Amino acid sequence: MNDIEMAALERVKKGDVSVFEIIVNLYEKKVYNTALRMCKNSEDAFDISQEVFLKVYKSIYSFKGESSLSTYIYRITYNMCIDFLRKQKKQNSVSLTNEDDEGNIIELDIKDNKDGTVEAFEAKERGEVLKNCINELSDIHREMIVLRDIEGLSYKEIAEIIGIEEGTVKSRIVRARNNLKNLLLNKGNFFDNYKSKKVDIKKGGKS
Amino acid sequence: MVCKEYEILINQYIDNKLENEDSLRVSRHIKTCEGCREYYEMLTLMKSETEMLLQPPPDDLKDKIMERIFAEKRPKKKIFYPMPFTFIATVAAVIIFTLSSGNINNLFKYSKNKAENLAITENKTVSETQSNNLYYSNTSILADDIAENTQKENAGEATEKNIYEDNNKEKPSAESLLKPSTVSKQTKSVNTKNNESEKDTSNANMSVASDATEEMQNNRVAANITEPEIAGDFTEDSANETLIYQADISDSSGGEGSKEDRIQEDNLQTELPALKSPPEETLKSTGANDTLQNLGAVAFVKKLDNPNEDVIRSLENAQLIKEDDLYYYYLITDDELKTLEDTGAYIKDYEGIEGFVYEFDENAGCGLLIVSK
Repeated sequence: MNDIEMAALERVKKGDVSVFEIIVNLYEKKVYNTALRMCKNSEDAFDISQEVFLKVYKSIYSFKGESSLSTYIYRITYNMCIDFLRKQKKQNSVSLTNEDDEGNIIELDIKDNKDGTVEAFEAKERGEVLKNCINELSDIHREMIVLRDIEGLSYKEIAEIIGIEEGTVKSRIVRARNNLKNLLLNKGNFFDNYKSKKVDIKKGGKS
Repeated sequence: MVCKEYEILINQYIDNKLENEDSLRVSRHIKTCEGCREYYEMLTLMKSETEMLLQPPPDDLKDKIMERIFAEKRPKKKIFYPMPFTFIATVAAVIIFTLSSGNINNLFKYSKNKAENLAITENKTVSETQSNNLYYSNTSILADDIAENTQKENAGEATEKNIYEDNNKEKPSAESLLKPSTVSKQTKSVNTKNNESEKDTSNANMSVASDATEEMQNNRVAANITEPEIAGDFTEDSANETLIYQADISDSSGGEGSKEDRIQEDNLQTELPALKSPPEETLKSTGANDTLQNLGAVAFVKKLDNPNEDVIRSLENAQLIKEDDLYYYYLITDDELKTLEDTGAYIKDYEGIEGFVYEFDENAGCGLLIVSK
C-alpha cells in the first residue's frame, strides 16, 4: 500500500470522512470497469460500485494491510459481482437492457475517434463484437479476461482476489482466451482485419 | 493450430511472464511455426482491444458514493479505546477480587514475588481501616501498585506495549494515560493524597459520585465501561477524578437503598455456571496468559473464521483492549456476559464461538473477554 493510501485511510479512521474521496478517486475506475464487465450492465455496475466503496468504508478497520489495498478492493468488488450474478441466476432474469447500456458504453469507448468516419464505425462494431463475446463467456472465464486483460492485474493478484492457486489462474487464462478467440472467430468479423492484412502481406511477398 | 506445448507459454509471453530463456524460445518458435504465430497474433490483437474496453466511470458516480459515505454512520472499530479510568478501576477490582478470594496463584504465576505479598498485607490493612466509600479507590491504587511491581519484576514491558499498541497508534492524545507507568504515577498521586487526608478523598468521592449517579442509572461499573465513544482527550486530572468517580459508582451499589439491588445481583451471579480456564497450551502459544496476568484480566474468546454475528453485535459496546492474530481481548461487564449468553453463545464452555471466560470477577461485575473475529 502506498503512502497516500495509508495516510488517507488513517485520516478517515480519525473521522475525516471527506478524505475517503482520495480512495474513491484512485479506485473508482477499476471498480466500475470490473463491475461493468462482470455484470454486463452499466446500471448494475453503477450500483455495485457504490456498494463496494460503502463496504470499504464500513469495514475500514477490517483492512489490516495484509494484502494491498488494491487487492482488498478488487476482492470486495469481485465478491459483490459474484453475489450479484448468483442472485441474478436464481431469479432467472436476463437483463434486456444490456444492449442499450452497452450502446452507451461504446460511445464513450470510441470518444477519441471522429464520429461518422469508417474507423469509428469499425471500432464501434469491433468493440461491440468483443463485448458481446466477453459477455458470452462463462463467469469463470469472463473474470479472467476482466481481471487480467482489462484491469491488467498480475496472476498473483488474481489468485489472491479469487482465492485460487496461481497455477490455476495461469491455466484458466489460457482457456478463457482460447474460448474468447473461438467465439470471436465464429460469431463476428473481429479477426477479418488481421486476416486481410495477412493476405496482403502474403500477396505482397509473392509479387 | 497452436502447438500444445507452446499454448501456455505463448499466453505467458503475451503477459510478459516468461524468463529470458523461455521468452527467447517462444519468440524463435513463433517465427518458424505458422500455427503458433497465428495464435500469438490473434491473442495479441484480442488483448490489445480488450484493454481498450476500459472506460471512465459515470461522472456522477463519485458524488453518489461520497453522498452515501457521508450519510453512513461512522464505522465502528470493534476495538473501543479503553477508557483509562474504567480500565484502571476494572483491573484493580479484578485483582482485588482475586487477592481476596485467594486465587492469586492462578492469576499470577509469579506469586513468589515480593510485591504480591506486600499487596496482600496492604489489602488486609486497607480493608480493615478504610471506610466503604474508599474501598474501591484504594483497591484501585493498590492494584496498580501491584501491577507496577509485578510488571517490573517480570520484565513485562514488552507485553504491556502490546496491550496498548493499537491504542497508542490510534489515539496519541490518550497515549500518556494508557501507559502503565503513567497510570501508576497517577494512582500513586491519589494514594499520596489518601495517605495525607482520607477526608479529602472522601469529599472528592462524594461530590463526583453525586454527579455520577444522575448520569448512570445503573450505578454500576458496567454502565461506565459500556460507553461506546470516548469523547475528546483526557487530562491527568480528569483521569484521577474519574478514577475516584468510578470507584464510587461501584461502591454506591452497596450503599444505602441499593441493598436489594445487590441481593438481586448476587442471585444472578450465583446462577452463572462454573468458570472454566482456557487450555494452557492455547494461552502459552498466544502469550495470552502473560497478558491476562499483567492485566489481572479474566476472560477471552478465540477468533474464528466464521464469527458469530450475534456475539460480535453484543460486544459492540465492550471495550476491546487488545487484538492479536488469534484473539480479541475485551474487558466485559457481567451484563455483556449475560447478553452474550442470551445470544446462545455459551462462552464459558467455548462452544459456538470457541470462546471462553478465563475468569470472571463477579464482585467487580466485569472481566476480560477475548472474542472471535
